[in-house]
Amino acid sequence: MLAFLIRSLEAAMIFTFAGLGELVDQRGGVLNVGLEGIMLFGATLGFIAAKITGNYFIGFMVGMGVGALLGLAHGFFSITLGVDQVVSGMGIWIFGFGMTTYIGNPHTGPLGLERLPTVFEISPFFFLAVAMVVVVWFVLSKTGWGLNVRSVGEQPEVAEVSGLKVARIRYLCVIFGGMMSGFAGAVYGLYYNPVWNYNFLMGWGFISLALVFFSMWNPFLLFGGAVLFGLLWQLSLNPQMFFPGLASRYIWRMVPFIMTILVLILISSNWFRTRWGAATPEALGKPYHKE
Amino acid sequence: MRRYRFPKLMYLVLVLLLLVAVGLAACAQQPATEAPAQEQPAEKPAEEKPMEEEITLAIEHFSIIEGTTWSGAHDRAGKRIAEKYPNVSYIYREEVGPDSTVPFAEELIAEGADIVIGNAEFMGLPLKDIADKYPQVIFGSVIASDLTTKPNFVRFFPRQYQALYLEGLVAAALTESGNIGVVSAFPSVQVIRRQAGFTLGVLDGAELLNKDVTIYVKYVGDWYNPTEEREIAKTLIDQYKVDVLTQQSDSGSPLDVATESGIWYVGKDMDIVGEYGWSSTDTVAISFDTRWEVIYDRMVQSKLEGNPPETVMYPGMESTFTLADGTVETTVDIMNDGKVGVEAISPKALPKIPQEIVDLVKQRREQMMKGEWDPFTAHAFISNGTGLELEGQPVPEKGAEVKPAGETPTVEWLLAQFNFDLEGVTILE
Repeated sequence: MLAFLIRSLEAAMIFTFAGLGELVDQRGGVLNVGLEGIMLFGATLGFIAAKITGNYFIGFMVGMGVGALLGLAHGFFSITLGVDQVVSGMGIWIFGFGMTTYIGNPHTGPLGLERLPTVFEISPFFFLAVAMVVVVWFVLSKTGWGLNVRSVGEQPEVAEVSGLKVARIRYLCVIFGGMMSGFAGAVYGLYYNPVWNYNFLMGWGFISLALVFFSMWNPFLLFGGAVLFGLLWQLSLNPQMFFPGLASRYIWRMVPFIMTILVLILISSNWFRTRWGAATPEALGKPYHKE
Repeated sequence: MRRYRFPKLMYLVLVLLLLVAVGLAACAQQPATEAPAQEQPAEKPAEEKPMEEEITLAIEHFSIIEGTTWSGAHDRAGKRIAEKYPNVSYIYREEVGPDSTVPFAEELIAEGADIVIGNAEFMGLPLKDIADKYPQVIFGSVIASDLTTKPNFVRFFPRQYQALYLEGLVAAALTESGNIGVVSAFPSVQVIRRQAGFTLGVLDGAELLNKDVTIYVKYVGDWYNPTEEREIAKTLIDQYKVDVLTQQSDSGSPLDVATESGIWYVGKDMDIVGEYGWSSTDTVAISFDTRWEVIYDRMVQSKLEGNPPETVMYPGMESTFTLADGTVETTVDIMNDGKVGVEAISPKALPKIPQEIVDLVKQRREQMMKGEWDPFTAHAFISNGTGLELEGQPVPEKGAEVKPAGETPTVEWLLAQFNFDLEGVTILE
């Protein structure tokens, strides 16, 4: 049971890192559906860097760096060029899938470094994830920076008139989002499953993306959702532990996505908009052109 | 003032993306397996056959080659054939899907290919559609469960279960907890057959040592899913107290978990220590290697001699190929860190293995190399009541004796109809 919980939390921390970055992205009004691709890049290049240098720190830095660069690229397409954000994000995903397979193949196999230590059998990254949740919540809710981010995600014209530089703030958001996704990938590739194989994430970026909508753009709800998704993920592997014979593990595996679809349906309903209308960043997914 | 709304269309797109993700979570990769070869002491010089005709062997690999155990071994086979015969050249294509099998094949034929291989069934089968169009070309495909053939469309697979049987003997000797774990892909004839070889070895080893051994099999649902393979390996260790782990799936994650957990790992398909250095003999107790060149050589010979090829090839340890340097290698063999036979047992594991098991490994290997003994002939097949229901062929009831000891199952039955686990395994949900 303890092992089950610990492994659930390890999955949850990776969802949390990537989800927090995407949450900040979206609060700034930019949707990045290319999380999976950025995570693949962060995991692959971080893995290669750590393997070559024998240094975990360099691996994580490379993962974050490549994530930031891809976030910047997404920003260039979606903010400067104003292209459709979904198309740009999909492009990053497909690019990440193909390119990391090409780059990583010669490095197929285990990392070969001594494992990073745990704290009371729990990953140190889990505690970092909790800290990041608090920091992101604080910055978004209690600081002027957070207000600026939320402003450009809600009403960019008003923010612009108020003197804010919408493009610059959105760029910072997408770079931060990319960096966090790259870091999440690096945590996967260097800590959670330190064996390089092509396309090894198998949808974890999409789980993190789903999590942001599930959380209704609240960092604490996002963390709760990450833990829930982590538990469901583990449950999908061992359903006989709690619900023997109830449903196939392949059904359990889809539950996080089904739950997210239900949340999406809920928050797009008129009732929800009337009652909880503030949940969705108003300008999310829409390119902003200065008038 | 303009108000922005997250457009409904965008929700639709996101829902579609999530559905894609559901698909990603549920879908699978394809085949898996095989291994590189290796060196035995050079026994005889390479037979230099006078060969006038120029032959081109073409292999379509379903995956990339570099760093892979399946396509890597096929690629090595092509290179070894070309190295041995100066008049045979080897060409290939990588990452070939079923939709591109035929276009690539025609391209390869235009480049002079006389033999065209698909190294997995799902993408090799389309070759039969052009077999009549190119009667002068020999086409071939690995078998997963289908046995369709044509006079120039060959189906083949190596008897890996023989090496797996020997691995099972070693695994039975090494387990202290009495629990052996298998991270497996999904129930299919190929997987069931391979697991059966391993199971018989474990049961024989346990009987010889008078040990109680349980084999736990947990399916990933896919040949390749690194994250789930890792989690299942951890589950087997944490919850089922497994101290010897093997896999019938494709990623390196179970090996990494075994290393991390300090338990024994039994490899498959290739000598991952000697070939790729993915681990050491401190973790890998034993592994095996597959030499596809034994099969490809038969095709080359039939082409050179102008004879029609055998349409189903299922060679085992009795069949050999002589490399250009004179090394003789069997179709499959236990192999670890570049060593074969009992030498392949990890030096760290060897002291823990009773001598009678080492002797039995040696004896059975020699018998199989001489074609005098086979685990599938020697043993009865008692159904575990689990497996894969095939069309018109349900899984036999638990305890049913499907084949008595001493009877040799047909090649066709082994390759396409072996649909039940043998008694002695525990299939986990």
